[in-house]
Amino acid sequence: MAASAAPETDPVRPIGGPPRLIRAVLFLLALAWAALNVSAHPMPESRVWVDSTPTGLTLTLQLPLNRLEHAYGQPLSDAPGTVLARQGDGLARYLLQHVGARSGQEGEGAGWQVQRPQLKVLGEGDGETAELQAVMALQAPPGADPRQLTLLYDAVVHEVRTHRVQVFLRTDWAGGFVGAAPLPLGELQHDRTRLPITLEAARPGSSLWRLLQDGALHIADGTDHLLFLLLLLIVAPLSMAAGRWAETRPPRAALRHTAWVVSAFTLGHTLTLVLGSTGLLTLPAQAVEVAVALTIAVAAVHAWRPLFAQGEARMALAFGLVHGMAFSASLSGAGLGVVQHALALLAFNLGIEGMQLLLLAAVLPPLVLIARQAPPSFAWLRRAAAVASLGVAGLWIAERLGADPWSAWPWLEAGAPAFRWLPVALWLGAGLSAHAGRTRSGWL
Amino acid sequence: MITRTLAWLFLASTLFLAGCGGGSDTATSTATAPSITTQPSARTVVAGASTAFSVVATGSDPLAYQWRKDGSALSGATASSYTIATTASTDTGSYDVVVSNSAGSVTSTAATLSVTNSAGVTTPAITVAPTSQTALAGASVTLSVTATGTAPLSYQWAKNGTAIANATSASLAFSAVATTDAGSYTVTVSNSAGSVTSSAAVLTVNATSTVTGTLATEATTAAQAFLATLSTAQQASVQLTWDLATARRWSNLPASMVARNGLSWGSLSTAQQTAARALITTALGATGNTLHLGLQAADDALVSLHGASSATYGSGHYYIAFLGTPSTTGYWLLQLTGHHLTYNIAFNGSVKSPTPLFLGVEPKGAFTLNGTAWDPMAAQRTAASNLGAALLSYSGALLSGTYSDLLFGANGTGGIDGTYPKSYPTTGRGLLYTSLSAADQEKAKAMVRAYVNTQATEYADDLLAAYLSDTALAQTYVAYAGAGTVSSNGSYFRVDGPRVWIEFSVQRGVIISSDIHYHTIWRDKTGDYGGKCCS
Repeated sequence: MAASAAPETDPVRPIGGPPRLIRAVLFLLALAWAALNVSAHPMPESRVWVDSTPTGLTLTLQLPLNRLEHAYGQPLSDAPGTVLARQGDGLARYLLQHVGARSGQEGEGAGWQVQRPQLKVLGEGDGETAELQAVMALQAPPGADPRQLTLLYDAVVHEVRTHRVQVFLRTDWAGGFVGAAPLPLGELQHDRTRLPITLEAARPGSSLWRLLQDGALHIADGTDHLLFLLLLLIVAPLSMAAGRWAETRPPRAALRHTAWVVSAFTLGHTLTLVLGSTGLLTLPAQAVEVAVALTIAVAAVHAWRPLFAQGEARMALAFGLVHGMAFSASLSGAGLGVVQHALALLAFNLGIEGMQLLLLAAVLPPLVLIARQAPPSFAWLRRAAAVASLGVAGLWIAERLGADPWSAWPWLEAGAPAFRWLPVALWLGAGLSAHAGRTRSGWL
Repeated sequence: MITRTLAWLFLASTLFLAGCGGGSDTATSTATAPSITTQPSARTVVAGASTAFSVVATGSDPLAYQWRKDGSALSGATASSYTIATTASTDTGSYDVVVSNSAGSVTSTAATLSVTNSAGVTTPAITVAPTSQTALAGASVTLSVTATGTAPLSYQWAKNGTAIANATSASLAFSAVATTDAGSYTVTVSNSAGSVTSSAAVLTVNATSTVTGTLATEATTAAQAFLATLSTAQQASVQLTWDLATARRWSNLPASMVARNGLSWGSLSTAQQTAARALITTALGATGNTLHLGLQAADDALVSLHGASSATYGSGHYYIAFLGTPSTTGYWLLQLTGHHLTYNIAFNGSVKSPTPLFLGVEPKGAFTLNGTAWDPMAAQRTAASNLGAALLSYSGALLSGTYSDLLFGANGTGGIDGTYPKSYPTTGRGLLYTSLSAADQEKAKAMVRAYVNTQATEYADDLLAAYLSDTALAQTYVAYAGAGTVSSNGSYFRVDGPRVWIEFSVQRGVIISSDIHYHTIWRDKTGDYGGKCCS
């Protein structure tokens, strides 16, 4: 063993199992990352991302240097690293000549003012894939509708006959288009250099409302997140002794314990949601999805027999970090201003919280009731949930690593919506056990 | 607890974002972007008179101006006003100016210029002339014209110089075009001030294939033999329902980037590969099969000789699929596609064709892999090289603009074949075949043969007869762009006939970035996917 290796045991470590588990998760993440790092093939088109602003639009252009150089007339792709130093001013002037807008469906209105672009070279190391990124603010003329224009765009395509420019709406804060996949607006080429753009009418608060819903739906539609939460809740009414689930906690203690666990999970996923959404932390989506499935497997084992002696909150925190990375995949901050981005994160996270609390309210009371009234039935229920979840988590892991396990059990996938009836079933069970509790016998 | 944690987190993240300067409005230049105080105004002038457009703009000096007509920059028109000393009807159009400085730019409103006769009536002018079209017999075709001028405008269409009865609107429609409709069409637009006749639009009507042959039967037998080697699950993957949208799912990008139809070569057992190879040899003939093997070998060479990822490149990532059930009478398509090769061999369609047929190669020339020497695209490269060398001496063959890839490759959204109909060029097509010397005409024909002869004899004979008939050649253009050699990045060659469309693009390598590589396409304007593309 290498001298720098960590000591085998750590006397002050408060949790027994989790670090090893987390190390395993990280190892699998690294493996998945390596598998995904296949060599790239250049994308030959220009792309234009449109973001609305109160006074007009911001365009983010991505122009392949090996196409732009034909139109610009100077070599660029041979030394991408020095393009800005050599040609920055010339390129800014070139773009100002070739990107504009006028109001009106046919461009019949007044011209828009275009601010000098801010330039950046992406992928500097490789002349074949390097791109010029240009961010340009377009302002509607005084009195004109800033949400209706005709884009006049012939950068590159005025010269390169085989070139195409794909234009996407990325964000429209005022119109409630945010946190969604970019919307294709059209394609420009040599004989098509105008694109009418009409944004939907502005509705105050529409983006925040949409993000709130997105956050809530993300939980409601995410069977994996739901299942994980359920596994956290199913052990909430229990305390442990000698490495086993034992006594039933009093309802008050169960509630306090749940609050701790849920807060820790929230803290974890909020952290990685913020980091992921701001682009400070980027992990391959597949690896994150596999890790989410792994957390479910671990939580399922924990539901069978406690793995985390005193550290359930810590486990929830660690696993929250993983789930937050998955959330951040559906909320990219690209194209949003600072305040907008902070508000977007707040709204999205509130949506997630709201749905989690709703689930808590629906599921925790019957669980506590059953656990108190019919401990043997509850143990049965807990173990059944653990086994079923472990199985499903295994299938998810296989699926997310590229296999197609559902084809063997198609009814499993088809049966996923039935999961929604689980709270109803629990309440029924709780009712039964309350009744049985009065007659001093189990309901199984 | 939760609320407090959240509140702190958001406060912290907001401060953090602000600290990072995540916003984009960091321009602190003191210069002011231009704005226009007086826009250029529309005007009507009598032909021969002089006229000028002008603009007044404010903003930090120096201000630069560029006038444009109908969106295209006017060379030398870079002052605050633009003067036309002697107007002619061709000056009619929409003018605007882009004013820019170091801080930004602004576009003026568009001002139209109308040129009239002395009575103040604007003579008709054709803004969009009817375009030459090629159609398969039975398809619907519409010729149309757009003209400006003082109303009322009247229209009269003519075929081969003879007026057509009752053809007096701006468009001329054929609901089901027949071979007898082929010809040269013009339209005359007139009003009280005068008239103008459009340039001729040639309507070409391609007959459907009538040659009988046994290839469809032989291919069906081979296809069924291949299917018999597959498991039920594999059969379900390889056998798709015919649909143009499904057929268009091929690309010049590796299969890991743009998913293909059917089964991958790498997923087949040795016995299954043998049966697939027998089918390919039957459907394509020996030359086409060798090309298929050669392009698979080229992809393997990228991995084993040039360090490309085997997850993306290599012969295992080539696919085979059936669209429609292989049958001796019903329509079906054998689709063979991978990174640098796509064949769409249609059986029992209205046209015998293997198009769209994409060929590309990297490494570009000869290479040796596991002791076998390959040069997959030698025939096409040699033909393009000879044609390019010949065209350099004809100024009319040089296209304006830059061609950095194919015009009609896999250009659709998502990197697949684009939608139909394709808008093949009607102007700027290069040089007519008939303008070439006899020796150079042979080079143009050799280019066509280099592609068509990749097919089984039955198909090649049928297509060469159509593409190289005197009638077809009289309407065929050849063109090049760039340096006109197969070794320089940016070179481009094209053969553009009433049916045949071949493009050959020389571009920088992707894996071997110090070298160039080729993308080429052969299409049949009315026969892609056995004619299902276009009727």
